[in-house]
Amino acid sequence: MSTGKRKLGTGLFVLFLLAMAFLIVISVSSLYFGYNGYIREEEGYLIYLITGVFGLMLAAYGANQMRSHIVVIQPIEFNVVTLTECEKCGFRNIRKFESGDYVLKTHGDCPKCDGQMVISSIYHEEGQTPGLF
Amino acid sequence: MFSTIIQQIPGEDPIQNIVGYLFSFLMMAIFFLFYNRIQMTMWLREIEGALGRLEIMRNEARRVAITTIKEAGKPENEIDSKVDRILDYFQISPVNLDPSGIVWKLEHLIDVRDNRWKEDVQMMAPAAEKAQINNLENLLQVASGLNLLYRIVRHYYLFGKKMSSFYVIMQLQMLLPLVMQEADALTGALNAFAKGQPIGDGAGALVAAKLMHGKKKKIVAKEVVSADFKLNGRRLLVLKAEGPGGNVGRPGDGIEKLMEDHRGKVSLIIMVDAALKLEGEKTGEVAEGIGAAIGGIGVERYKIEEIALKYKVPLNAVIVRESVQEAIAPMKKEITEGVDAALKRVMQLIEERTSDGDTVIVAGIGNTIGIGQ
Repeated sequence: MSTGKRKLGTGLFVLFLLAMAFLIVISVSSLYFGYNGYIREEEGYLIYLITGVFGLMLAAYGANQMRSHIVVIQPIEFNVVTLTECEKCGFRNIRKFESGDYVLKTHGDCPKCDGQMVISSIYHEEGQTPGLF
Repeated sequence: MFSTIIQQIPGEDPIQNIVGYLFSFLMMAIFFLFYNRIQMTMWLREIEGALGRLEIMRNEARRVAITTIKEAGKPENEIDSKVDRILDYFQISPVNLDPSGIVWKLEHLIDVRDNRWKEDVQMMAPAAEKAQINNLENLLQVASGLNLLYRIVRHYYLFGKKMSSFYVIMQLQMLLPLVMQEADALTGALNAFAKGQPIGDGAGALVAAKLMHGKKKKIVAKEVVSADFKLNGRRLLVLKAEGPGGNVGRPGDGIEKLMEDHRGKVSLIIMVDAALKLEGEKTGEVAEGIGAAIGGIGVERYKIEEIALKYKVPLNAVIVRESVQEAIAPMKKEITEGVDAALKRVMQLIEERTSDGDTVIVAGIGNTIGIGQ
């Protein structure tokens, strides 16, 4: 499976980045003025602080929205293993799944005795969720 | 005149206050007048994102299907356009104004569809073996499912946008999590079907396979294999879909045939299947109940219920719990443990509910991909 990104208009993306940068500059400046006003006990510092906080919240929301529109494909390969078991002595062997494996397929002779090895189960371990993304 | 009005405004800087009031009124007006439109735009953006993901999933499924068919079937001609044609197949449900006999019409349609899919896969992949053809058919069904999901979401998205319909967009946005869950599940199944790995849905088939392993088998219905043997003084008739290709078989026909062959002298029917768990329940948990444990559109369940009723044979069900994603993804370790627990439960049921000399049918239901017998 390939890795790629969903196409997003470059112009729109640059415009969005510029708007975000502008918003962040305005918000940080506003916070700075608000803080200075508070230190100097000037009137109206609260409006600057509120504007700064809301501006930063808006920037964070915008960035989060943009993130959801950039789709990165992370292919998930399930770690599927094949468990073979000797029908006679119970010797077990776990290895990676190979094409052509299926449950209850006889799979050669047992290395410990002269019994037959049979694929007793094929499964994947926890830790991976189905899906491409 | 203007300066008199200005002087009436409280505060030290009346101009600043006017700007403030105007701004507040403007914002209120914007929210009152355009709230729906703003909300709709946000939902549309969210749906666009989901639609983009669905498109990638659909294209990926198509690519995997084409690659696998080329690898397994060694086609002589280009198959891309044939795959595209198969992905667009549709099925028209029978008319239900007069429901009498609809089950048989449905069965006929399913037969026609299955044969058509198989024939098309065989034509595209002449070098593929029987099991591989079944797997490729399943793979194409997954790709077709993703294609359908994408087309439906795109339809409602474009329709809602075209009509500027708040309610169409709202319903689509609210259904998105369920749609994406379904799409994720189908995408997770791609690799399993392409490689022929057992999937979660095969839990029931695996129970039957373990029971009939090493016994003499015969075909009792279309793509259904059965074994007849004695265990703990009982006669067991075990059946499952014929593996290891991706296949669910016709267990309804299989059970019917076994019942008729034994003239209804069967003490118990036990059906083992994977079943959807509720949120909060553990994967691989085993539960027991009454009735025909089999999914699908109901044709097979109808047949099983009919034959059980005809001979008044009790129907018992043993299920292995799993989520919808786990059902079509490669089998999890918890499910294989659940299979062992289900096998024990079946043996316990036979021990408790029947006596020496009784005949019991055990039907392992589910897709038998990657599971032999």
